[in-house]
Amino acid sequence: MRPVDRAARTGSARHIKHHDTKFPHITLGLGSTSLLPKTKGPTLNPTIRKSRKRALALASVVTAAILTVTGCTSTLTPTDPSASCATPIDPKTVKIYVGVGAFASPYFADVIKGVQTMAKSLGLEDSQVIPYESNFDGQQLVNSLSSALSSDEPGNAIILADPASPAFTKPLVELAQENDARLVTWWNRPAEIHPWDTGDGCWVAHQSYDMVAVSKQVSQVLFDSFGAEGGLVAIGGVPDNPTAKDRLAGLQEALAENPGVTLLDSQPANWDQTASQTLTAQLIGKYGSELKGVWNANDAMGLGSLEALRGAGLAGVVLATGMDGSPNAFEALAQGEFAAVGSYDGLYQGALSLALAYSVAVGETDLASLSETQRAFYLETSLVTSTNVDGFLEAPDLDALSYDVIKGDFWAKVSGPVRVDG
Amino acid sequence: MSAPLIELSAVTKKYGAVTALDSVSLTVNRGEIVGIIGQNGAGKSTLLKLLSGSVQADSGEFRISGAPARLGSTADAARRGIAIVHQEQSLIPNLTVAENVFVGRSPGATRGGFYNWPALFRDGDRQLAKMGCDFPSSAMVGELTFIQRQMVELTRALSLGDDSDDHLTILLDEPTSLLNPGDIEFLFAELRALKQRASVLFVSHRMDEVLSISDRVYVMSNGRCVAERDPAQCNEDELYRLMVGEERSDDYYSSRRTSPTVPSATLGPPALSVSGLALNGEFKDISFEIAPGSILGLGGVVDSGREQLARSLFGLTRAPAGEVRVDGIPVRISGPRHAIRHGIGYVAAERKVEGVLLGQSVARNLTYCIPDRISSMGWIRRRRELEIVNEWISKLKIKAPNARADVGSLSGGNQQKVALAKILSIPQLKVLIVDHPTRGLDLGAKADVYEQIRIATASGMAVLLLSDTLDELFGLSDNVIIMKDGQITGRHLDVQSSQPQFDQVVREMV
Amino acid sequence: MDAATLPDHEATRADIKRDGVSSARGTLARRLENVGPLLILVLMCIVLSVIEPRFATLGNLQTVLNEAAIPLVVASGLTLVVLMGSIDLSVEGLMASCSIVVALLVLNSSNSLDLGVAGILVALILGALFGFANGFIHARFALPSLMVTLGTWFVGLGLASYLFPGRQPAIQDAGFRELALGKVLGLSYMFWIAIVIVIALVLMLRFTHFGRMIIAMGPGQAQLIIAGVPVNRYRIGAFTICGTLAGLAGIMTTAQIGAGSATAGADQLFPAVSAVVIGGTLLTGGRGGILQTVVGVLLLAVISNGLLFLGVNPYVQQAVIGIALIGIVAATAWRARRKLAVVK
Repeated sequence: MRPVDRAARTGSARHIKHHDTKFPHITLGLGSTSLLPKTKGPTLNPTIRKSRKRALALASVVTAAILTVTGCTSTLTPTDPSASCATPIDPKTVKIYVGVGAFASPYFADVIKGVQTMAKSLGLEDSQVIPYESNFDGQQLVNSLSSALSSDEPGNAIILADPASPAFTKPLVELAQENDARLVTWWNRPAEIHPWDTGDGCWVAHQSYDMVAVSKQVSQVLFDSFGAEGGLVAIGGVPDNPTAKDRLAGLQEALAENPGVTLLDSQPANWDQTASQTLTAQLIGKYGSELKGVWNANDAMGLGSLEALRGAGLAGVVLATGMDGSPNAFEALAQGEFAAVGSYDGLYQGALSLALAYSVAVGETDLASLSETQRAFYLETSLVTSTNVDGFLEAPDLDALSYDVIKGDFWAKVSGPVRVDG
Repeated sequence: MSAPLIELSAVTKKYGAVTALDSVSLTVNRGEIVGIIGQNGAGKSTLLKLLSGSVQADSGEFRISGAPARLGSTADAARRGIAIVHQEQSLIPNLTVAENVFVGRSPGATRGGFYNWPALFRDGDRQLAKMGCDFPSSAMVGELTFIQRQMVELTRALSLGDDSDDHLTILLDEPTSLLNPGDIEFLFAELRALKQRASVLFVSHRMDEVLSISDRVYVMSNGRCVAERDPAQCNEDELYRLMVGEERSDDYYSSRRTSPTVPSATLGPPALSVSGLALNGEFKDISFEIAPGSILGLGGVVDSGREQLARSLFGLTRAPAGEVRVDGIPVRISGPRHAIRHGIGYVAAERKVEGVLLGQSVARNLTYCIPDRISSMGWIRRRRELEIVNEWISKLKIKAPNARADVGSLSGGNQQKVALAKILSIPQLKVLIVDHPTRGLDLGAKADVYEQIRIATASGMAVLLLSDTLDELFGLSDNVIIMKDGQITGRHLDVQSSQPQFDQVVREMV
Repeated sequence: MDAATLPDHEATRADIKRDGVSSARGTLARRLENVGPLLILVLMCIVLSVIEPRFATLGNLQTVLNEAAIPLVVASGLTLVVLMGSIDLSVEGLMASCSIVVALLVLNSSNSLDLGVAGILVALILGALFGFANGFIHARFALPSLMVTLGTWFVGLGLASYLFPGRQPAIQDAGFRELALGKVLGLSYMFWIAIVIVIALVLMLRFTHFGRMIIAMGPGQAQLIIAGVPVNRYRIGAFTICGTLAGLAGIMTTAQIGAGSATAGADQLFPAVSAVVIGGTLLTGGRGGILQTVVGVLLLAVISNGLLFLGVNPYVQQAVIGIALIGIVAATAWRARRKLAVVK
């Protein structure tokens, strides 16, 4: 590269000094080429000379712009450790943001309710708990929270959220860090980052459920319902979603142990009840009497499949499954139309997450003293079948969701650390 | 003597600073055909809007059958017996003829919103029969020919007479601009037959037609009614002067014939030379030459292939077989950009679609082909742009409020001038193909366009001209080629000194 | 006039040709446009039956038709709006709102209301009100229908979320569920309702002033206004019908899944628009109709059912449907390209 060009590219005067032996009158930037002494060689066509000049000018401007932008911002580098999330919150004014997938989901509704119950037991006002729904779009959640946080005073917020996809966990953590907000994440997290090495003290904990294990259990109950001999179809969630993949993995593990059972077909219905119904209706038509069971990756799809079965007169004969633990699914279990449902306690999840974050935020719990398992853990899941469903149909005990009770042992219902790849 | 059917006295209408109608007075009596001639922009369309109820006058009197009238809408006008047949067709293409004839009213055939189709078609057929139309009222309007649609429009206007007590007045807005001579005769016969039942106000810029059909003629210019004449006793030149405001030059088409600055055709290669050109399905065996500074006229009816020939020279069609040379150098035109780079320019026939960018300013339209001349380093230099634009505006007498005005707001003629200027401004232009350059332009505008073409040839440009009328073709060109069915059927050299018989030419065309 | 002049002769003929005088060739091409999608549908059914015999069983065909009932209702309403050259994006939001509303009004698990048929009527009226709002704002304030209905879409979704009682309301009214579960000739009541609606709309478009004006408004709005026709009235009417039908679709969805759902309308808009376009109704309006849309809906239903039977990877299914869409539109609208000097 000729020295002149290098000067034009970097826009900096420093580089030229050492190299300009032949062209003493160089100035930097846009004017450079015009000061070149005229050579004896063939002169460029004026149009071409003009367009080359134009290109050079453009390149300089663009380079300068890039340098400025990258030089000034650095969201990717950690800031001074002692500054983030060090000040205790003020309980009277702290804002608690709850980010869930959809308000209409009974499970997520429970989670929000759990948070609200815990907040009440802490003496907080209802208005201090602010739920957001992401519609399973992580970007939407980050945007909403970002604009909400920007109008708050820093250091006085708690975020409890499901990033909807592992791609948005890190942005969420960074958002918390920028605003000195304490964060507890649910469900989605990329394997490379953990609360203890990222987020600089703002990321309190990550909580999830072991989907593979419970899914395997649910699948086994389904197989048993038709004597573990026959075929079934699987209705899955959004295909590249880790939760959906984990649940299918559980099914696969169960299939491996039951050679008499065949998976006839596996189709996604994207967590949607109506889509599941349409799909199941057609699968029933395709497989006819070969079909002995319908496995579903969540309750909504399970209920959709159930109606398709009902329409074909097969409700209660060919059973379906669900995952979540919503009341309608429990009803179906009680009626003998579902084989099994994997359930997790959304109420407890919400309450616990807030309790833990609050405890750290007011200084009652020292974050540095917590073990890895205490910061990234699975909560217990339950396998619900027609035999034990009655226990789950009872109204939940909201008193057990108070701060005083839970702070006794935050990790009382932990079933294990989050898997390395989970 | 009964009151005139329509009477306007000192009617004025202003749009902001622009006076569209300036103290206009005219009358229309029962059973007569009154013609209004004037250039585009003379106020004819405002006059029609006033009479049909779309706009109201600012001052002056408007009387129908002696009683003052205030029309608030076209429906009002219809009730007073005034029906307008628009220049832009106002029929709905995907409804039947019957529905169009009775649109906006409830013919006896519908009941509570439900159509009784047989009854509707009966009524429709009856109306059509009054006009002597031979197609059923159940036909889809979209499938009719242009003249058939004009007849439907007239039928609609006439059928209003059944509903109204007043004597009917039919306003015709440029009804013949898209008709061929046979159809025009038919229309005129119908109009004459109508005189018993209706009066007609015939508005057009086509002087000869207006003169041939009207009982009386008004001349409008710049919003004023400048004259009233009896067609049998008036002089076309005088009318031209009244309309345009200047003398019609003798050598309307070719005043340059006397100038000796035409470069000799024997010096150097022809500007454009074509040999053995053929395009499958369109034309074949086409060979001709155009010397620099000369005009070659290309005549023929539709489907003669001449339009496709012109477009193929500019790269708008598939590449033709054969050889094309510009300035003696063989070229292969693969598209318009290529053509322009080789010095071939094209002014399109379909102005609105291919000629100007509606929605963009006049300045942008004039200069988008020559970005290098108005910009440096990619940035547009406003001053340079304005210089060039203003130069062309004055050269071609383009009537625009200013260079930044939306070109869509200009009249058709001025838009065509902008399209022409845009091409003429390309510096390396050697061959100019003009495809029906004066279609839709009024007399004054045509004269300006001819002048520009002449000036261009004086500086050595070669012109290939496709024209609407034989007069124009033979009046402007040096040589003329006639095409029919894709082949050359006649060559006429040096037509300025010896114009051939038009009969023979027409035979070559058809 | 001098016989030697040929004023504008050439111009005339060219324009007239373009304006569509029917030549024999032209008529054939137009027939093809109308019948094309139907031919493709029949062809596809035949091919699928040969490749996969299970497709052609009575049971499967009944399933396909039953599943097509709701898209049919949505697409039919949409057709009216598209015929006028407008679009209605709000169907998903309306379906969601009406689904929740009807679920909360008939006998359900969330509250103690049991309004039965009255509940259905209220939900329908809600759909009509939404549709009326769409039409009114669009016509009266001359705002593009795209923007107005985009807004109503979100309003509808928001309303559904707001009304959602926390636990999904399960339908306990057996009579209501019969709409979906009960069958006549193996086809659900919902399917027959859809058929009745289709027939009603076809008759309306052919025999009523309202219908004829809707058709005319596509290419002819300006002319109608000049002629003094109250076009706004008809615009609003068409949008109201579309909204009502979207509401009906929401009600039908509730009957089908047995519960009110805030996602009742999810992924219903684009299949409906695709069906309208594939069937042959131009998005610019003026041409097409309800029967064409029926073909479009069936075509989409058969394609997705067929792909399922063929065991095609679900990721690939979407791509296949997209390619089929382009192919069908290109094949049937080829002729229209010539008319346009510029294709955008």
